[in-house]
Amino acid sequence: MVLLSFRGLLVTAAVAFVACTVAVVHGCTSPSPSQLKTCGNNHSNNNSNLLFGIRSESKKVASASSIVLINGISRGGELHEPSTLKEVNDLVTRAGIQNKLVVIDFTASWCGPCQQIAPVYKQMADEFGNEEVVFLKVDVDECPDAAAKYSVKAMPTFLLIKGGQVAKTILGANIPELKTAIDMYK
Amino acid sequence: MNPAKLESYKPEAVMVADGNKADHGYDYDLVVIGGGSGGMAAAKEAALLGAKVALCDFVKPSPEGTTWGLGGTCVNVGCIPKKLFHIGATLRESIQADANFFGISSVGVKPDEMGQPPTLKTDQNWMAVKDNIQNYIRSLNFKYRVGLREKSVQYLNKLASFKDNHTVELVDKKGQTSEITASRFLVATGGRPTPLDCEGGDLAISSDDVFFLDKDPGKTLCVGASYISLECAGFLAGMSKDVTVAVRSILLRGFDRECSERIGDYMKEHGVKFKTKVTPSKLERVENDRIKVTFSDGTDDVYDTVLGAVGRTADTIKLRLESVNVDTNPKNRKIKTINEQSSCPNIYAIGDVMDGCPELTPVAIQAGKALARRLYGGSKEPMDYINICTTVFTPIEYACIGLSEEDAIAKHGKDGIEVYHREFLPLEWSLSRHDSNAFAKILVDAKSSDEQVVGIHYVGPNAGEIMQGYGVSMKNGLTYRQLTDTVGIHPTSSEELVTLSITKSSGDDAAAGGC
Repeated sequence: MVLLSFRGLLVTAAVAFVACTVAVVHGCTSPSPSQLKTCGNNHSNNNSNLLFGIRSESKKVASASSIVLINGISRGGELHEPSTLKEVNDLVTRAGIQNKLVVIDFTASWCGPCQQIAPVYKQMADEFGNEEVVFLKVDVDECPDAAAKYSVKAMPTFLLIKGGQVAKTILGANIPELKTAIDMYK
Repeated sequence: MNPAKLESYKPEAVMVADGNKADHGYDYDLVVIGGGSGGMAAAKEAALLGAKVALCDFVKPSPEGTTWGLGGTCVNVGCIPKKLFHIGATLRESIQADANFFGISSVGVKPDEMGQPPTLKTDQNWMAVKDNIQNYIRSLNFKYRVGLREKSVQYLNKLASFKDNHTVELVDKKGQTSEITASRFLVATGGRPTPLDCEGGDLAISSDDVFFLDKDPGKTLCVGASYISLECAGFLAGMSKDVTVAVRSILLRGFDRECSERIGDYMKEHGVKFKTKVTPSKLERVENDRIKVTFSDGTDDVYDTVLGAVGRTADTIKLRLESVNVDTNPKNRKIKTINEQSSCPNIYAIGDVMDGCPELTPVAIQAGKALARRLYGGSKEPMDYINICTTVFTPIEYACIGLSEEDAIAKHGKDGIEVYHREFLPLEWSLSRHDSNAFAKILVDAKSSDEQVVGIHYVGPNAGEIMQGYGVSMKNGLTYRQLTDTVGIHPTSSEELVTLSITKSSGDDAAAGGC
């Protein structure tokens, strides 16, 4: 019985190890103590964590802070994808009441640079969405009313909205500029 | 006085009073039905001149279910994708035919004993080309939406039909209906491909579908000898597809015969198969999702794709024009107009839907702007439909302006026309392609005192770019002397037009000599 369960643990751990190595995208660095704690809290299979202490770190974004996906699971952030102008307005209003910064990524399926930065923007939302910053992604073909309201002419366009007013507009897939602006306005 | 100047003298456009007044009380000053080349140009120009304008654009899906965004035929299923596919096919053909002659080869490949690199082998991925072109078109759809918004034109993605001459009913894609009223209406709904009427004709696709195909078209049959059929056959063949064109009688009806035949010969030399004096009599689905076509001469063959390009019909069927007494030509369903005004004075029409309008984007745009200026800008200038240059983007391109040789003879008599012509090898083909010739000819009114040019024709590479400048001079009464007095740019193909000296009547050989 004990032998079976130990083998069972080994198999589970091996599977978890494989899954984690698959999740490693690029460049691993040694984990910090805080990450160890978060990883335990988030990962469902605690046995594998204790046995192997597996960490993974995603590709470094060409910007100030690094974004960490612990074993492929987000830290609670969210990327809102409203499909009507009403949903956009509601999110902006609510964020305004909570004094949070709103970032809107106006994107299009036929826009090359938009597709390229999509995973990076998603990581930003996963990392610190909903704490101080509310991340939105709006497809201009699916929600043309929102695109019209904010006079979007080219994609990607990033709008930073604080208290219901547009504080900053960034044209183009310029992640460093976006990160700087977010840090400034949040 | 120069006879040419008399001919190009434009009378004022006399319009029938349509009852428009400043305090008309309707929702809009102008409602444009159709968001294509003509409709958008007219809407934006009218808005610029202070009118309150709404534009209704709605694409009824093709029988295959294909649909597209704002911009009309040209942007979505006409000129733009056609030219991009043509460019792509020409690029591949050129790499294959010319690269090694210019010493270009794949990296690491050794030249042969004579020092010649081997022919570059090429592959062309249909999905990649199609996706890239489609992404570009969708960016144009977006750009046009922004354009309307910026010019304060209300864009309504709804299907419009007349209730009375001041009211249209609108239906959106969810089936919800509404109504709007206007003092004036402009119908610019263009046309759609005419379906094949033989048994199984619904198995064929049309030009509405070919640019969106989500699988490689494979072995294709193009039915028709219009420029649409030949252009599509041309770029498909250029992309290494097995292509056959089924022609009922002649190629490119309405165009110069000699030039049309040259296009056909070039396409044949470049691998396009022609079945002449046939029409398809039956299409049936066979295994592997292919189509078996039986022709009127009893022969048959199996294809992956059948493209029907036998003509276009005006898109007036759902407009309910009968309810507003707008007369149409029973032969082609196009709206009859005088100075773009229909038989119902406050309803106007421009572009492909208008009877007598050359089916060309720039014509629709110019007519739309001119009409808007007459309606809201106090202008009296009519649209000039004479001497419009056009280009057919077949594998060997053909540009022309003015009369074909046949029309010139019909108008001036055989002795009334002098033909200057020349066949030549364009420099860009001189290293690699010795068997393909370009061709230039001009038609001159032999009885006019200064040999007025009545037609210019060029078959060869970059035809559209070459012909544009000559269009300007033709509209201003170009003479043979003025043309040949102009010093040519060397070395180009265009200079052949300003150095034409051999006449057809002399019987001399039109083939070019040396430099």
